[in-house]
Amino acid sequence: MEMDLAAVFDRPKRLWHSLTGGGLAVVEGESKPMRSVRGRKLPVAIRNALTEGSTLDAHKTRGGFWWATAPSLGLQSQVRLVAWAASDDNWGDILQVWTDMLAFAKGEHAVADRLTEALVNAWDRLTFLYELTHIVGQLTDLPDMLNSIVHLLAEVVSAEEVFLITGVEADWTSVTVSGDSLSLPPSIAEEIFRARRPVGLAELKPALEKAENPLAQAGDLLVAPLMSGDRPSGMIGLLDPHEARFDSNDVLLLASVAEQVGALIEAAQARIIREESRRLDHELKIAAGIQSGLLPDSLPSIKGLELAAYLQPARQVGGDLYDVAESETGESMLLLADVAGKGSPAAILSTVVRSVFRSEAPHSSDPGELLQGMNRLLYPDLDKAETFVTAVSVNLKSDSLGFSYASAGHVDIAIWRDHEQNVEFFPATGLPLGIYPKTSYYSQLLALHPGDTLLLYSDGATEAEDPKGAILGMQGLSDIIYAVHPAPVEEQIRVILESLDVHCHSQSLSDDVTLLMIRALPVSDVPVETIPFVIPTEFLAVRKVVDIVRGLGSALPIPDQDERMKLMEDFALAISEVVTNQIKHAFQGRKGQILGRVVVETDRLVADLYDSGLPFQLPEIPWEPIDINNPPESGYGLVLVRGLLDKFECHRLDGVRNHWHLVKEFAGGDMQ
Amino acid sequence: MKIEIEHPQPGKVVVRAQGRLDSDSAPAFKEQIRDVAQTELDFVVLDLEAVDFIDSSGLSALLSALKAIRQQGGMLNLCKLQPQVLTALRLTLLDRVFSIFPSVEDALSEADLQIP
Repeated sequence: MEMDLAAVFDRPKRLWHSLTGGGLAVVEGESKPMRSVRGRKLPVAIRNALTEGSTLDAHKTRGGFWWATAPSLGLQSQVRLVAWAASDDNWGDILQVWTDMLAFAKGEHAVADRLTEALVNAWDRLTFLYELTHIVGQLTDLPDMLNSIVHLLAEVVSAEEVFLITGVEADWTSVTVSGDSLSLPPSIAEEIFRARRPVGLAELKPALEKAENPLAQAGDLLVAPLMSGDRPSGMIGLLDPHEARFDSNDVLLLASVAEQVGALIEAAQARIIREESRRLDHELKIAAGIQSGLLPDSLPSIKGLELAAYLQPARQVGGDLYDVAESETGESMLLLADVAGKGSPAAILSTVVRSVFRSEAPHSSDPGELLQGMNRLLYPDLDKAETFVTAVSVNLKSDSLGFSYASAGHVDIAIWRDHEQNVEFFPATGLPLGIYPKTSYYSQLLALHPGDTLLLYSDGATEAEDPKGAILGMQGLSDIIYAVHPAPVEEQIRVILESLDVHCHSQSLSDDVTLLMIRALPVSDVPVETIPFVIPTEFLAVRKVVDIVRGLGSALPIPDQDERMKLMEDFALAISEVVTNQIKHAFQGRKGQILGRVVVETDRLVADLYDSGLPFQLPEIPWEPIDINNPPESGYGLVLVRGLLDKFECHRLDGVRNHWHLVKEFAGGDMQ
Repeated sequence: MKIEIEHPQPGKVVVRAQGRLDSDSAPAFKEQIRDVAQTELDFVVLDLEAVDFIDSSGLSALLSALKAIRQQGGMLNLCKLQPQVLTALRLTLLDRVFSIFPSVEDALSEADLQIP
């Protein structure tokens, strides 16, 4: 009996197309060499596979993926499938199963009259695989899916019971068509996992009998392991009271189903993990909002003082905090604290520290007493959590620049001394909070003078590491303050953070950074505008400095616009030459940073630039006029700087840093 | 730094530069002008209207371009200089080395006078 395979394949062809967006064709023997599948020219590799009868894995071509399946070995039939799909989603495996079944049906029963029935049966199973792929593709609720799979499977196999057992270790749950629960002893489960293929009753019977499992009495049993990657994730099986019910066709089908269900469980588990991490991320975002909301809305406004603070957590939430509260005597109590550890655990404790500060601060105007009280209250919680907190507290008075500080194991606080033009550091006055139940802290009296700046910070600032592991350190922090000290504190904080970013080469910080700055305003009537900056030692970054000068605009007290423009352009060029020179000569290609400030005074523009590069000696030789017929190609930088500026100096500071001083004078005018 | 090349007349090239000619952009600019010098042996007009900033590295690049073009027997004229660029050239006396014109047309007609 001749079978028209092309007609028989009409339905699978349509299924295949809706499934893969591709095409499918059947080839029987070598009598009908296929020229095209859905009008496409067959790739050479596929033509060769058809001639040689070899099996191909997914064969990528410009248009998509191609396969040709080999004829099933050991069978007389020469049925092969050629298929094309837009993407490779293991379609090759499905194709292989289809050919095997088809070959089997044709080879085994071609001479018998039951051919049609066998084929119909095969098509039911193809439809089943198609439906299964759809279930897998939709990935809804996992238990629902497993339930649909056993019912679907029950429709196409002649088995009384279909079961699916999933779980981890010995914690198995079963899904069955009958609704009964079903279990297998661990030893039998292990035997099935080891086999990594469908296992029949004959193989399992001795173990089942030994375990006195009721399945030993079954007529026939076929179980396949489910694998998620290399890990067993369950079993799928068929059960029937009739003996020898399942044949090699069922083995083939069950193997294919097991493979797909295994992948399905793996995908579902991955999805659960993804959703969990999305949920955590969402919660952390909310927590981050709550935590930043717990920072004070405003800092005290005290005559003669300028305050600013900033907290930058390394992760979404962190263990740093700062807060402010008023004491009974009307002093402003400031606190900056750092809970040891990172992320959520530290963040939870930081809110406890804040509450304790808020409850204690009103009763104490002495920072040492305050920390002592906070330690007493926090100790039990910190002890339980096996952690500690470093903290520094300062009291600010409304009528004097004198203040006192106490520090519980916190990093040294820094004071810019404007008169001395240096940074002084002051150490901790006691142990961190949470070390001992009773700790005393002494308060140190200090005073700011006009122009001085007090900086409280967390160690995230000084211990920020560059990619080679070098920390910024207290020296690095001093260098920044040295360069930016005349600027408003908000600006100083901006530059400190930018400088940390340059230091870390824009990698994200590994620890929270908190900065709290208090500046005693200088007593001066001279209106001065200071713009501090930091740039990495890269040529492109020089443009940032040029832009700062160009942006001065109306800050320059020169009424005439052309004159103002000319002054800005001249100064921009001069500063750009100096910074370029710093990058070329002081750093010679090494990574570093240049700190500086541009200051607008009433009758001059001043820039001070600092680098920690190699010493630079300004050439003393007076500049020779150039030979117009043979001008040198370089060496114009210093010519420009000297031509553009009224004053230009370079000093070596403390033997480690260069200080470049640029001055351009102008006829001061009244902007009004 | 962006440059556009135009051939308004046979043997003449107008190069329009755009952006800042500084230590960051000068090396690439030098290369681009050298390429022009290799292929166009006659007269090059460099239109600097859209160059609003030049520094000493930029000046070096211009000199390097001048030499490369002269070596090929060509000539380089600058035109449409912004005040900042003119200041830089004047301070370094390089305004005496380069021929500077107010417009592309002037720079091109100057080239005609030089053709033997």
